[in-house]
Parts: sequence; C-alpha cells; structure tokens
Amino acid sequence: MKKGIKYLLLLVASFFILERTSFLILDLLHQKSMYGESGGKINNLVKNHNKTEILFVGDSRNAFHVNPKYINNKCYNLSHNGMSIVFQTGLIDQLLTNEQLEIDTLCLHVTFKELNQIPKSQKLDIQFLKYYYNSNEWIKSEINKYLPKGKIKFFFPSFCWNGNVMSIISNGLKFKRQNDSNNGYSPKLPTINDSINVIYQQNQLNIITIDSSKNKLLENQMTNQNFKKYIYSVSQLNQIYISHIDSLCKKNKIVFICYTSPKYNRPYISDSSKFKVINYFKFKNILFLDYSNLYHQNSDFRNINIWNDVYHMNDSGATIFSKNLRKELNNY
Amino acid sequence: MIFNSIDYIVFFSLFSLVFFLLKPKFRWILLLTSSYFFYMCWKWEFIFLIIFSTVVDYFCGIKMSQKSIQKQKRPYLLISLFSNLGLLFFFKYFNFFLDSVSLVSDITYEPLNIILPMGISFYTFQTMAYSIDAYKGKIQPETHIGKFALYVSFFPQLVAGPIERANKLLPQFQLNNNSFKFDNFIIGSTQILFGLYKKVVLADLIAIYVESIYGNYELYNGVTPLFATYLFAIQIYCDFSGYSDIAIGSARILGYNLMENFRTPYFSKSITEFWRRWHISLSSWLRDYLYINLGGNRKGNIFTYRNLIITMLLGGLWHGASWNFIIWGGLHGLFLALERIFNYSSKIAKKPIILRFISGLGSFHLVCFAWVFFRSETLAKSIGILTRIVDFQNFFNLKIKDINIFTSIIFNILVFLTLERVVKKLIVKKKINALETSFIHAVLILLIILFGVNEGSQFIYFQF
Repeated sequence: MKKGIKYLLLLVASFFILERTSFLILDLLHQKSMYGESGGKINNLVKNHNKTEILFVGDSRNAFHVNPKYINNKCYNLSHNGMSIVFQTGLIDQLLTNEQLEIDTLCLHVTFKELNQIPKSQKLDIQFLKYYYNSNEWIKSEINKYLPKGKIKFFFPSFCWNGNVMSIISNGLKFKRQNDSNNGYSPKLPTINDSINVIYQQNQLNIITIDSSKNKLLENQMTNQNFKKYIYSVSQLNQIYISHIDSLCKKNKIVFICYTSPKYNRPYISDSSKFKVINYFKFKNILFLDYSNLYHQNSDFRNINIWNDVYHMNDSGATIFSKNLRKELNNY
Repeated sequence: MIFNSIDYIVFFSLFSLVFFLLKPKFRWILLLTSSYFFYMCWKWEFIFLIIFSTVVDYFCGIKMSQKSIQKQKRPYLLISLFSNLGLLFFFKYFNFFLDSVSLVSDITYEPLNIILPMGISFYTFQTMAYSIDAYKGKIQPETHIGKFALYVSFFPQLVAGPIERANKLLPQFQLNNNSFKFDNFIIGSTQILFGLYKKVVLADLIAIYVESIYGNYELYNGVTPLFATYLFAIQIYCDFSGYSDIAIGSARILGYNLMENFRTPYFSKSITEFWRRWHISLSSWLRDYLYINLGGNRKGNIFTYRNLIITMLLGGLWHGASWNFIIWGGLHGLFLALERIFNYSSKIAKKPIILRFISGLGSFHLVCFAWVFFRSETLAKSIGILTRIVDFQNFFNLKIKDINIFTSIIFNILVFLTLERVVKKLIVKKKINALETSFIHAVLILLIILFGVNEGSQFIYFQF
C-alpha cells in the first residue's frame, strides 16, 4: 500500500513537471514560429499582415495556384495542404473572432466535389486546429463533435500540440524552408519527377500497369472514359460552414468570395452539372468565381509544363492563374 | 473495443477493480462474462462462433478422456479438427478458394459477402492445440465448462494472441488464488504503456508514411521504397508486439502469465533464429502441431526440407487468404530449408562478432524482402515495388513527403531503442524502483499524448 501511494505520487509529480515543461516550451516555440502550416503561417499573418486587403484561404490548390505578388502587395495566401472546408471555417472563425484581423476581402478556394460532400475522414481536419481548442468556442465544439473522446484527451493541455511537435520545434527554431515566402505562398517549382510527367510518361510508354484502384480511377478520368455526368450541389453541412463564414464576413464588413481553380485534362463541368451550386451562391449573395473549366477555355492552361500533377499547377502556372485572378478581382 | 482506445482503459480499470474485490472462486465468472462482453463490443453475433468452438472442443476433450485407446479417441479429435478448420475455412478461405478455382477453370462465381470474425485464427488454433494435446494424453481435459470457455475466450489474448497452450493457461484459472500484487501491477502497466507507445506512436505514424509510398509506388524509385520497406518492418513489429505487450501486461496485472511472443527478432543472426524470436506462440504452434506431425526431421534431409516449406506455406496461409501471404510463407520456408542444408544457423553462432553482424544484416534484408509480399495487396504490386527498389539509375533519390511525420518517426525510433532496454530491464529483472518506474511511465504517457495518432486504428493482426 505504502509502495503504491509512493509510486502514484511520484507518477503524478513527474508527469505534471514533464507535461507542463513540454507544454510551455512548445507554446513558446509555436508563438515564435512564422513559417509552416503548424500555426506559423497564421502567426505571420496575425503579427505581420494584420491589415490585409485580400486573404486567400484554402487547401493545397489555393497554396500552389495563388501567388499574392501578382495580385497586390497587400495580399496573403493562408493555405493549409489537404485541409477541408471544416478546417478553413475554424481558421476563419479564429482569425475574425479571436485575432480581430482586419481584411477587406476573403477568398475561399472550394471544389465542386467537396461542396457536394465532405468525406467522413476530412471532418476530422478540424483537429489540426487543436492548439486553439481552449481559446475558440467554435473550434472546440467542432472538435468535440468529430474527435472521439475529445473532451477526455484535452484534459491534458499538451494534447493541443499532438502531431505537430517536430514541425513546431523546427519552425520555432526558424529552420526556414527554401520555398517559404513572406506572403504565405509556397511555389511548386517544376522538376522532371513531377507526377504529371511520370504518370503521362508511363501511360504513353505503357511501361507499368498502374494497378491501384486510385490510379485506375485517375486514368479513367484523364481519358474522360466512364466518367458519369454529375449534378453537384452544396451539402447541408457545407451550407452550415459557408453560412458561418458569410455571417462572420458580414459582421466584419468583409467581401466574401468563393472560387474554384482548374485541373489538368479533366472533364468539362457543364452548366447543367453545376447550376445548383451557382444558384446557392446567388441566393446567399456570395460572389462565386468559377475557374474549373479554365483548361478547356484557355489554351495557356493546356500547356503540360505549367502543371505539377493533375490537380496542382507549378510556379509558372500560379503566375498565369494569379494574373487572371487579378483581372477578375479588379472588377469587384 | 480495441486496446488502443480510451474505452479499453476505462473497461480494464473498472474490471480490475471489481476483479480484485470479488471472492476468488467467483472471478472466473467475471472474467468469462467480461471476455464475452469484450468480444461482443465488436460484433455480438460472432460470439456464437466462440461458443460453438468451446462446446465442441469441451465435449471432445471430455469424451477423449473417457477413452483409453487412441483409436477410440480419434473420432473426437477429428470432430474437433473438422469443426475448427471448417469454421476457419468458411469464414477465411471460402472466397479465396472459389477465386483460385475460377483461375484454373471456367467456373465463374459470385463471391459471398463473408465478414471475417475477429481473432478466429487465434482461438481456433488455441482450441485445436487443446484437442490434439488431449488426444495425445499430454493434458487432462478440463471438466469445468466455464473455465474451459474462459481458456478459449480470455479477453487479453482473445483476438490476436499469444496463442496459449492449455497446460500453461488452464492451471492458472484453476488456482483461483490471484491477489493484487504491486510488482505485477508495475510490470503489467509498464508493458501496457510500452505496448501502447509502440502501437499508437510508432506503428501508426510509420503506417502513414508507408501507405504514402506503397499506395503510389509508381512515383518512387530506389531508396524511397526501400526505406518504406524497412519502416514497414518496424511498423509490423511495433503493431503486433505492441498488441502482445498490452495483452501480456493486462493479464499480468490480473495475476496471469502469458507467454512471451517477441524477443527482439530483428537482431537475429539467421532466419532460423528469427523464427525463434518472432511471433513465438505461432511458430512454436506450427512446429509442435504441424512440422512434427508431418515427420519433422525424423525422415531424412529431403523430407525435413519439404516439411519446413509446407509448414511455412501453411503458416503464410494462416495469415490471410491471399497468394501474397502464401508466397511470403513459402519464401521463409525456402530460407529455412537453405539454412538447414548448410547448417547455417549453428555455424554462424560460432563465428566472430563482425560476421554475425553481417549475417544479422543479411537476415534482416531477407525478412524485409519477404515483407514486400506481405504488405502488398497483389503479386503485381509486390513485383512493381521490388522493380522500383532495384532501379539503380535513380537509386539515391529519397523523397520525403511529410517532413513532420518523417522526423517524428526518426525521433521516436531513437526513443524506442533507448526505452526498450530500460523497459526490458524492468520487466525481466523485475527491478522495481518507484522513482524510476514512475518517471518511465510519465515519459511514455507524455510521448503518447504528444505523438500518438488519434484515429484509433486497428491492429494489423486483427485481420488474421
């Protein structure tokens, strides 16, 4: 019994010391971090770009397609690779509610597919904002909704750094990556190993049979075969997220724009396929800029050399796309 | 309910509390009902398969104990073997069998929608071992059906082993004298925490990396898929030995001793030694109930090699209904037979340390070569990955997709290698120092909080 109590007291004491110390060190490093997607980009925006004219928010396609330099010098690209609209909504809520960020226009990158339905696994993307769990009520409620036993896990404050430790350390210690810029844009520089080249080379030369179902799907879609015509809409859950962003923007007198970007050699999305989405944005009085068919409409985007893979353009593509976007944005 | 979930921590804490508060003679009832509850949390319907297997083997065991001549015992042994293997065949191999038949004939078929019951390969092998031992007169069949049912369904080792022998586990249920022991608690909880660390930090982190490479292997060459294969070797070790650690640790806290399932297998100097240190409960099962019954090494060299290859082929098939698992087993059988031909395993043990080191490195690479077949879903994919690895033109082109995950993996492998020594010392030598132990536990909990993957993924061996 005596041994047990001694063990228990020592466990609690040593855990408390270790947990507090690691929490404080990581918190300090996180605050110092100005690069990367583990909060660094957000810190950079909040601390160095508090008065931003246009803020671009979205996933990797926003990250690689929009170079703020070509739009105006008061723009910031706040993208987080692979993050769904759940994450983006939480991020915007944090920026506008807690950080009191002053912006004129908010551009959110969306896709028809994602608007139609968010995959179940992507709802958990909100947990990548877990360092705001205790400071942001919206993020907290969403995490509790989707993260199993979230409330129990957050009993330990260090859990808010879960999964980000190494990036917080490297970013906090200012290990700046080659491609990091001050306006949030991370260019994808073209290389011969870009998957667009690899995939096309393999298809043309027929060297390897691509046997994974994912790539079979990709192959089919690239050759426009077996691709069913689909009528896209905005799912109920997405309507909630978009309405939340819209109300935050209205409250802060921010122009809210949603936009899509092109893909390489993917089927043309006809007006009849997307009319429900367009009508939704019309109804909500949200500006919707649709570039999903740019590949078919503008020959510049059919040049394989501006693409990194089917979904992402490289730096050259970003330059062309950003200039196009600037022209359009100048109209509003 | 899986071991790497908060549900299990809550379940096990409450269960342990009630277990030690209960009078010893009633504990088996609590253990049995909790074991059934544990299994039914997954899919309640499949508990009837365990009950079926239990009743058949209990009945056969009792009947065999009433007969004195082997010939009279044989029908009951056959009933036990047919019913267990029948269950296994239907749920695990039926579609694979039809698929294989359709490959060599014109027969077309519609695959049945069969769900593989969790742990079926483990509990059927455990009950078959019981029946064979009863037939051979190695054990006295259990007369208490409740305790026999507990032997079949003991929750710490029900779904992924270790595959326990009746002569080791059943007597522990009969003793009924487990009292709470602080040393058992410390050793058990250390094993549980270390197992959790191996699973939710190392195995699950590495799984993300390996999947990113194996899932798109067409895009990578040379060192990238090679490194992913090394990491898969670590992943499967941490995943499975992590499960075993949690199972053994949970049982230890309750006062039961389960067999050791892994003994740092990647430090083996030969494949023969590897199989003495990897999944020990299965490899010893295959040796005792398959290899020896096929004739072992008693019928000359050629038959020994044949028996080794057959045993490992079936061992591969045990892992899953796929040709890739059969090839994986066949490769190991081949390696074992080759080592046997040259008496390699005993020769290398006497060689200088540098040669033993080189031999260990070679064995590790052979194991990794076989893991490629184990990890890939199809033979075409395995060959594709191996072809990509030996692309020497672009060999040194290591591509790291997510630097955060990559550095977390490297950091945790280093931590793991350090911690494993400390934990082993504590478990094996039973040196309990309250300060040291509480510090190790605190470090493990913190590492799980900081690096653990949250999705509550399944253990790889649950599918077998």
